[in-house]
Amino acid sequence: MIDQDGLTLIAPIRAGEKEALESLLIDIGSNPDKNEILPFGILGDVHFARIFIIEGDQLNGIGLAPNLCLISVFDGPLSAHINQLVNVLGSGLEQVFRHCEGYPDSSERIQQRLLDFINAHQHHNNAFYVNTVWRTVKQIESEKVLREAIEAFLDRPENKNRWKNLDAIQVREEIRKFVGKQTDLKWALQRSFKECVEDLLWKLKQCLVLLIVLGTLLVLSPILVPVGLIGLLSIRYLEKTDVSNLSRSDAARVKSLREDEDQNVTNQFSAAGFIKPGIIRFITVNIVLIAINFAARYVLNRGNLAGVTTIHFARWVIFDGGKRLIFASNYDGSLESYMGDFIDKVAWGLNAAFSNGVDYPKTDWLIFNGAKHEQNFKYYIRTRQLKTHVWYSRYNGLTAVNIENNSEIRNGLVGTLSLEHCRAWLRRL
Amino acid sequence: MVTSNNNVLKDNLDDIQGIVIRGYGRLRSACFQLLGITDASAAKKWLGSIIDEIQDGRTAPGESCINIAFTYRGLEKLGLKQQWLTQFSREFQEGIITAHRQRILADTGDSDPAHWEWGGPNNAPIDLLLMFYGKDDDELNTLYQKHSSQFDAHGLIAFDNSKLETTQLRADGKEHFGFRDGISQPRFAGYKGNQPEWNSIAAGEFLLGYPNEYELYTERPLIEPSEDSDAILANDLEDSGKRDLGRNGSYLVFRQIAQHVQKFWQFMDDNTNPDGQTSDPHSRQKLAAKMIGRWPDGSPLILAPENPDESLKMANDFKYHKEDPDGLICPLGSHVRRTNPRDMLDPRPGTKDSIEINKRHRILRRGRPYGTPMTATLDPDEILKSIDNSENRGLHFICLNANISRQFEFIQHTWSNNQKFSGLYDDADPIVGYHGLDAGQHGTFTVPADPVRDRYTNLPNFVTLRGGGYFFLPGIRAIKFIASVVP
Repeated sequence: MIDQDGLTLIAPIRAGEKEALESLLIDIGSNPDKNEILPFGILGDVHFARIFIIEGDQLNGIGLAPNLCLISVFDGPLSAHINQLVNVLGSGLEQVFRHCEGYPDSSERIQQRLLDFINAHQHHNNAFYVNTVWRTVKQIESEKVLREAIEAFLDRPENKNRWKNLDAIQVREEIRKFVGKQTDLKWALQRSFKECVEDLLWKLKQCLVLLIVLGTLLVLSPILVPVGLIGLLSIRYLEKTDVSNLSRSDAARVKSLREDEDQNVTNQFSAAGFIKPGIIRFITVNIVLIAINFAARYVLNRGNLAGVTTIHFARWVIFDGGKRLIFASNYDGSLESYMGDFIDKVAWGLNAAFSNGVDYPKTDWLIFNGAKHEQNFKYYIRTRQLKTHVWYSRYNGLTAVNIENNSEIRNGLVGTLSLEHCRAWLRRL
Repeated sequence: MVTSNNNVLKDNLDDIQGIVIRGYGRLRSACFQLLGITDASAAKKWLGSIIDEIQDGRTAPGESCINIAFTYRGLEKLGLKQQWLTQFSREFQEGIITAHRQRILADTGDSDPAHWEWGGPNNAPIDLLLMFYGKDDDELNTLYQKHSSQFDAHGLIAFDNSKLETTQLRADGKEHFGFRDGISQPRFAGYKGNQPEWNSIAAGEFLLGYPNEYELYTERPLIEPSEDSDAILANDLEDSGKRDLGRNGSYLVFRQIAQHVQKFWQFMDDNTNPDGQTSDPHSRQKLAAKMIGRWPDGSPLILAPENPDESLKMANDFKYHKEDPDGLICPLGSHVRRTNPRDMLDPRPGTKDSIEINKRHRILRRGRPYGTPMTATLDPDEILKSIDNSENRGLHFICLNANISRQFEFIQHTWSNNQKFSGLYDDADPIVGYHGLDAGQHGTFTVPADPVRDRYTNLPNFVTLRGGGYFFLPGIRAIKFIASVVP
């Protein structure tokens, strides 16, 4: 079972080089898969990758330089991923990173320069959400091929009329026979022993972890509950004086953002903003993100983020000495439907996660209102959203729901199923 | 001047244009005149002169009536201030033909606005829409002549292709493919009689100045009281102290959808005749019904799974999840199911929660068919034999909503034209979906069945867009205000 992880690289851009960097990124972004500088397509186990610029800003009258941000989602350990980037995309990366402050100018090998730079600017992901833990690029791609082969098999003219005379169990047998005859598909008929063992071990671990965590929380509750209440009351107090400078994002900005949207069924969302000042807000953000990260790993790890089934990956990263937060996600459908989904289903979650950001629509008790102000929230989103010049996606055309369905199709091939289960399984096709 | 401060629909009917409240089904003839403004002050004088003729929502119209709507450009021309104009919805300001919108609405290929007959980048710009309705063609023409004779003298120009005719509403309510249309309409909550809860929608979903399904007020243009010195407009109900230019108004989406009727039935016939030669009328009709979700007479598949049932031709009180979660009766991707999913979507399909979400994406439809029906009876055999090559028929699709992005565009993009709707992979709306350029790309339609689904992977485009626009349909007071604006 191979974990998914994310690399987050944030580096200030050298003064005066933002435009040059931008035009380089636009070049790359015109064909993220196969461009000549950074052809992400040659990386076999990268799900998504993006590069964007966090614009320069002001904090307490002090100008903040713009930052370059490179984000990727991959299978396997982080170190292997970094090595792969350095070895396979090294020269392209250097072209990009050269525009950043502190890029080594030494005469060392390019790999060393890149490793030094990446290690110096890598950021820890405070929270990292994976739609379905352990589902690798290879699994997604092979299950896609499997489904398409089965669908084509079902659609064969000589087969189409046969199905009506068979029951679900018989049809499944026919499909299994077909799959068994294809050298590139017959792997799907069985689960390896290793797979089964790992699956079981994980389930045990999950139970154990949850028990331990819940147990610990329970034991510590005499301390945690009053502390939590004080925290909540402090938040409430702060909320009363929160100011939300809500104005519609300007039309030109939205137009520019929209240029990149809805080119395909999956979209990206990148945003950055200031965390509200003060120790209470800082502590709250960190606690919320720890909680999200934990829940993402041990609870919401199979396709469902509290009712929202359209998110492939998401991450929250605190940077700039705890002053700012980045949020980046890959989701299916339009931004309007993505936002609507959250507002309608998980407004409380949005509020918990983001109300610590400056100008977020006013909340009450951290989780109430806020995002429920539908239009205000949709405007707010656009003011935080960043133009993402480069966005690479490995499996265009597959939604998270499609991917899950493909897995279930594969799962349904293994072993024997009752008539009812066969019927239900066939409805997935 | 009484400026109503309440958000109860029935106390505001005098100020709401009638087309929001009624579809004018009795007025079977209609035409829509798109106009350009060449002289703003003359046009405003004209607007002021016809105000009393604009049909309001209080009473049903007599033998004929008119209603009016404006584009963003039209409002700008008439002298509305920039600071008011920027408060209109962004979709309305941008118009229907931005590059992003083209992707969302799938207005590409043959439906690309570059090929449109009106409303596109190569067509004359539109400033206003005048909607004419008449009991019959005579009444309609009399009314039309009366008004059109005033255009020239009042700085209004009716450019080429700007008069959109319609065909008389049929007694059987059928559109050109031969299916009864317009059966399902959302009802204003608390307005009239007993409506099933799932279909009872907050007035603010269709009218500005009322709470919407989030119990909030959709943004609308508010102006300073000093700018409305004659106190024409209502006060803002959110107590901002400003006057509400949007109150009792709505956004009107207009799209001319050409229908390829013979191609439609040819497809049904080709895909249901058992030996490639003789038609199988029942299967043919059933495939079409599976695509639409209702039989030609209007009876819904959910309530009449195997055969049409005339007694159910207007039936609309049904849901999907309990009866048919897998689409075995009414396919998941069928047209009526995906344009109004009722209780079938997350969260928790089949529950109130699902319906609550559904209510946030409804539209009021007010469209009319145009062009001569291929045959008088709309019988498929006759249609297939017909040698009418005109292809000049279809639907003037018109709908009303307060939030274009969350309602019309959402339905179009996230439900109707979405190949991934309800877990599907390649299925856009079979009837109105964009199935790719005709040469080479085709659409898919899945009919769930036991044990194995039927899948059609060769759907051509059955419709093509020929024109479109986003309009603002103001309240009556707002029209008076617009007519009185001094630039």
